[in-house]
Amino acid sequence: MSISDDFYRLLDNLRIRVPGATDDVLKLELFNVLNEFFQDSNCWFSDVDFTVTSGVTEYTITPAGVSSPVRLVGVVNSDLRPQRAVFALPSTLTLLTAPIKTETFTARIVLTVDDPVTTNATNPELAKLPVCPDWTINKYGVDIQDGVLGRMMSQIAKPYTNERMAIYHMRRFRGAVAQARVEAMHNNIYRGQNWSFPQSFARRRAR
Amino acid sequence: MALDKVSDYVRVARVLLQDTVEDYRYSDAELVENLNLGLLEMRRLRPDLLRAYFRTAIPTYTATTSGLNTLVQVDAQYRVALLYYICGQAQLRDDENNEDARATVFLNKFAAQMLTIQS
Repeated sequence: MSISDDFYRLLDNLRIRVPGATDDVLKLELFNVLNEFFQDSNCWFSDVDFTVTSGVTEYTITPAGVSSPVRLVGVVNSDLRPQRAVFALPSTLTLLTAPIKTETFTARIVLTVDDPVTTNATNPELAKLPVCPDWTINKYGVDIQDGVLGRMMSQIAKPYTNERMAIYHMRRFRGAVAQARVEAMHNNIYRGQNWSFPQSFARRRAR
Repeated sequence: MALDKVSDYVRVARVLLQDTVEDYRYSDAELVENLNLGLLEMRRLRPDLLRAYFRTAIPTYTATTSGLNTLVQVDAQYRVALLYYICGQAQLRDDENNEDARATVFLNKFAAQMLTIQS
């Protein structure tokens, strides 16, 4: 199934469930929902290679395609050894230890949707949609639908305003975001590592 | 599609206003002006419907030949509501042929269709 089929299904479901809503507003809220989904779940990431130079600690990271960097998962050197780094400003990666030679590092970056949205001259229905990985709408379509419905129904003075249903859909959406975050953490492995320290052991490591 | 152009609104409004025989009670210019006012009301009640004009001026249509052939960029779901506004605004005019109640009905229908699921 192509991503356009997934988007058609998503839009059709939304149109049926939000009578009176225009496609333009549905797409606007879809962008907001996908942004929240990706930012909070960390499920869309990309490994970005960049060349480091001896003594230089600051690098600009530019992910491929239409996406915006959110946070850094980690950095490894060419031997796959983890490197200490921070991502204080999105796109600007700062190594805490200056490299001693020129080599290629790889940064794993969490991404979210960004402008420009799609333009589709042949099919206006598929225009103005945010660019995101093909699997997203397929795998999390119903959850994203909940997010859009929740946001639409929480708008004031619209035919589709419904505070109660907005709460219901947003609760389902937030649950899906949490599930997506866990799945991304376990690389989508069923019954992946679910053990954790008791919370009294939880400490943030000081850099 | 129905109610595409300015002339479509004027034509259908005349049917509802029972003003299909020349000399018209309501001139084209008056009805087109009501359409322009309706867009301003739509912007107030439902800004999402005029999102295309957030960074530009809301269009003002005219009753010239080319103006009447201009497309009105309103979502298909809300064209009938705009039509009701045109009629309601026309009937507000102090005229012996008019009843205030009819104007109220049209304008209330417009507002109801903007804000609720009601036909």
